[in-house]
Amino acid sequence: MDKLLTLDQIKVFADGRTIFRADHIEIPMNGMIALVGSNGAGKTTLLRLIHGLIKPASGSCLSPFEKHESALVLHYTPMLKASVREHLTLLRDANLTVSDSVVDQALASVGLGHLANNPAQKLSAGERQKLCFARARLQNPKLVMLDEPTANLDPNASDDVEGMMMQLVKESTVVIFASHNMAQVQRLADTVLFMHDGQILEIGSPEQFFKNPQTKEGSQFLAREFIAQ
Amino acid sequence: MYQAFIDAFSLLAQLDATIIRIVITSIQVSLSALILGTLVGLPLGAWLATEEFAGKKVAIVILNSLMGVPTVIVGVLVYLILSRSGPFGEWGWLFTVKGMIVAQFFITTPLIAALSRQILEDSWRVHREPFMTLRLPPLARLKWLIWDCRFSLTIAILAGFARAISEVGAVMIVGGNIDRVTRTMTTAIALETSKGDLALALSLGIVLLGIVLLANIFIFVVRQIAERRYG
Repeated sequence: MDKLLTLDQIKVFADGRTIFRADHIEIPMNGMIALVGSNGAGKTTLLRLIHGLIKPASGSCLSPFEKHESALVLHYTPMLKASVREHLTLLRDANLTVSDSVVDQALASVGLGHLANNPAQKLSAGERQKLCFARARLQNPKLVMLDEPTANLDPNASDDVEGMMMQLVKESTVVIFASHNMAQVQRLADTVLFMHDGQILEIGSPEQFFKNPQTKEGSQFLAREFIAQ
Repeated sequence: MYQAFIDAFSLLAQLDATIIRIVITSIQVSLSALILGTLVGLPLGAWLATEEFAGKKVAIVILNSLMGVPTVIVGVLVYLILSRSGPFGEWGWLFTVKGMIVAQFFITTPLIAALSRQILEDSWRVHREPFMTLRLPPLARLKWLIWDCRFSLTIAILAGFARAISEVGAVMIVGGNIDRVTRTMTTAIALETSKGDLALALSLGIVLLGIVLLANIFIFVVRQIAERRYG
């Protein structure tokens, strides 16, 4: 299986502490990949590292994708004082060719066509997430990373976003998402990465991770999550 | 005192030619300085808000201090630069409208830059990561940041206009308060009051207050419409 990512002797520091480290980890390129772990485990840091938003203090992070071939949808994306359409047309300033008809199609594909000229700041949380999704797709990425894509969304909006994620995989796009929703991870993921204290401790199939976690931290995490849920 | 007010309103009602000429000169000088100050101050403020470099904090403190520099000091410095023996004496801009615009440019620019920086820096903290995520180039980031803050930035520009139109020290020194050439509302008010012509001074004061009030109403209405439209 091809490798999505090879992390070698890598360390990321922030505010004087190590927030991510890995000696040698290879992440397989396998459909939809879920990042799970407690808050502060390093999930968002890993996504930002892959997207090139942060640079490691040491080591290397190798991916077969060029930097411009990935798109990252943040956990919370603040909207500009601009229309929904302008949130997509601003990609023209990122040297992407985005015609008006392509923008209309992208908005229609996420069910926001009728809101194209409305102010984006008046969108609901679910609509904002769909808008960010549409924008990510317009970047023509081969790798889409989503940081807690359905957090704070109602069940209907969550279903819509999950549908979009599955559509991306059908289109042969690799999707990595961080989530605290274990049911969602079991539903969607082909591979699970368990992270704890800035390290990737487990990589495996959902069945393997949820039925037979290989680390004490993984077992404790799952016990806490399932008690909580 | 009451008679002075009656005479002032009478002059305004008659659309006195002297008053109109003085008002036009004032607006010409202050608006020109405001446009130039905005063209320089806004990008400067945006740059300071978004870039990290050694000495940035010192630059911000200096810029903030420049907001409060007395206009007479600016007037003296511009006078020295434009005077016959100064580096730009050959231009012959001393005691001209152009010279007054230069003086007010140095008054409005730091104010607009400092206020813009504060407004844009707050917005930059919010939008920095999304912009980086989209891989927007630096100029595009500035463009969308300014676009996002366009309604708040009107306050910075309004403050620049208010400071320019109401200042007297710099235009008095650099313009010389020459009748029919460089006399502005503020310099005329100072002169006419000292001469005892309170009617003319008051009528100009009323116009000055009216202009500042109108500018404030305009900005207020624009912001109200914008907030209804964009939330």
